[in-house]
Amino acid sequence: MAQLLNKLAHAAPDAKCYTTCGTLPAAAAGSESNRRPYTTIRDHVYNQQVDLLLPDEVCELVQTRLNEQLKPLQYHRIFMGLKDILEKEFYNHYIRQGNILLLSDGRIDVDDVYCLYDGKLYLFLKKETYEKAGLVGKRAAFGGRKKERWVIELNLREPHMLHGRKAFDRVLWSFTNVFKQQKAWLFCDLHQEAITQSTTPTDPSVKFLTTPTLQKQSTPSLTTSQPLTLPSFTHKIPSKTSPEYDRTVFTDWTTSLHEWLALSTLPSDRLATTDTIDPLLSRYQPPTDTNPKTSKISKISWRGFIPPEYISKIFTITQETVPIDQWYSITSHGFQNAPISWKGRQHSVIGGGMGGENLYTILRFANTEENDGDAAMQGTDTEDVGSKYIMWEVTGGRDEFS
Amino acid sequence: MDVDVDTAVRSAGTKKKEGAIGEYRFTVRKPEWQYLHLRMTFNPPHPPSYTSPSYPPDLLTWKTHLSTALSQFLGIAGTAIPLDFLHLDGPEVWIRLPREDSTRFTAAIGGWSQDVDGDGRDVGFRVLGNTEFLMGIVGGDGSDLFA
Repeated sequence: MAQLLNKLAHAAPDAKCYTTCGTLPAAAAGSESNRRPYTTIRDHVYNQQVDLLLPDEVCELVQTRLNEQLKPLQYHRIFMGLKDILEKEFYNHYIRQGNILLLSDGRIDVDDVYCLYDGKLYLFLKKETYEKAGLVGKRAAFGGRKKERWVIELNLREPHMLHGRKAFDRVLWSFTNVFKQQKAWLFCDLHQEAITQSTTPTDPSVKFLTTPTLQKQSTPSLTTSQPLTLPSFTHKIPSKTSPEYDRTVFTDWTTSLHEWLALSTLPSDRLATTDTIDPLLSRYQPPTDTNPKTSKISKISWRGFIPPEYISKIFTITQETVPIDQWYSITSHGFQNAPISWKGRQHSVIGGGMGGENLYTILRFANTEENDGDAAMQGTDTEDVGSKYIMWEVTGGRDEFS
Repeated sequence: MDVDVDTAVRSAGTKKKEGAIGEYRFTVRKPEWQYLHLRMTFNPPHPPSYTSPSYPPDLLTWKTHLSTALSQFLGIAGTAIPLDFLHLDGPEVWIRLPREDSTRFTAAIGGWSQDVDGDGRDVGFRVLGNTEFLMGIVGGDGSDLFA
């Protein structure tokens, strides 16, 4: 029995956690930077929850700054069929000229799921649907329960994708005759400024769309924890030539730091300074210094259909606002059933709420004297005088992202 | 735990632009722990606002019920699986256990259901989340946004 169970455990590929340690650019124009972590934020398309963790002292400042510079995010829940997005006015206004983000409801291991970003439509299909669709696709990296799924990729911004052209009519035929099912969709217009000007609050529908819509808004919520035990935020970052031992110790530390951040998101009873749990029930110990510091931690949290552009803004504002001697962390949870995790990379799940990890966490360290001397990194450029960060990217085992 | 240091970045330095500037990158697979998000279920269920000294269950009740389930399916080896209760929230807990034991553990508790208190109410468990990286089960899965 035990042997069989051990085999089962290895049937699915393991989730991966890509860890990056580096230095944030000091320049304020960092959001345009083509380096991690900015590229990671920009390319992670479908986000459903963003958590910002801060020491309580700086929370008020950051919250004020975020309220000043960020409008609450508007998005819609729509009930429509796939052919509705090809309706002439909607298509020309939102897809050809504008920029929107779409994601349909469904489970990517058993259902047909569609999504759209940057004018590219992805149909993530069961084998039966693919065979009926009459459109050319390729086999998906993630097979789902039946081990066979297909993905059709259509770039709707290509010059020939216009009403009346042959290629377009083919797609229209397929969407009208094969993809008849009405689904729930999430819709977000990436031109957020334009929405608030042109649409009055009394008119919650999406322009050019006749199907029922529900307007939603994502406003941040704030929770402050009890005093929590803080982990050790300083550690020597090994260089490429460090001995194996140093690198292993460092890896363990980053893993337990990630665990600590997850616990403080809950926030867990085990981190409370007043916690007196019996070792019979838990032997968890935070990765602390010899004299652990404690602090209240505030969490600013957004829930909704959050486009990466919005998270980039949150990150940039936070990065500019949080004083250099304080830490913060930002975590973005992706949709478990999004066909795409990072741009152009297929996402996977195992099923039954497992293996659908699709998230990243960025922790910026406080820039203290002690930290500077300790964590001297090899090959540091003169322009890199910014703060150090660690980023964790967690994806499912069959994800294409690397 | 398996750790791959990103060789592309390590050997970068000269040619590859990305990662050239003091970036240290590695991949963690098969970490030490597995994390589970569990709910204790009751059949027939309690009314939504019901509370009593025994509901929501405390950690000792959790430990007892889980041990019963484990010993029934796996014998004494099952009760030896070390569990760390990380957080308790109503009838739900977040726990940590060695990754190698997680399949056995979920199999044991998934099929278990018993009338433990003799009051005609069956107690069972539901696995709400299962991940190798705790961050994976502290946010939702996003499906509620479509409702």
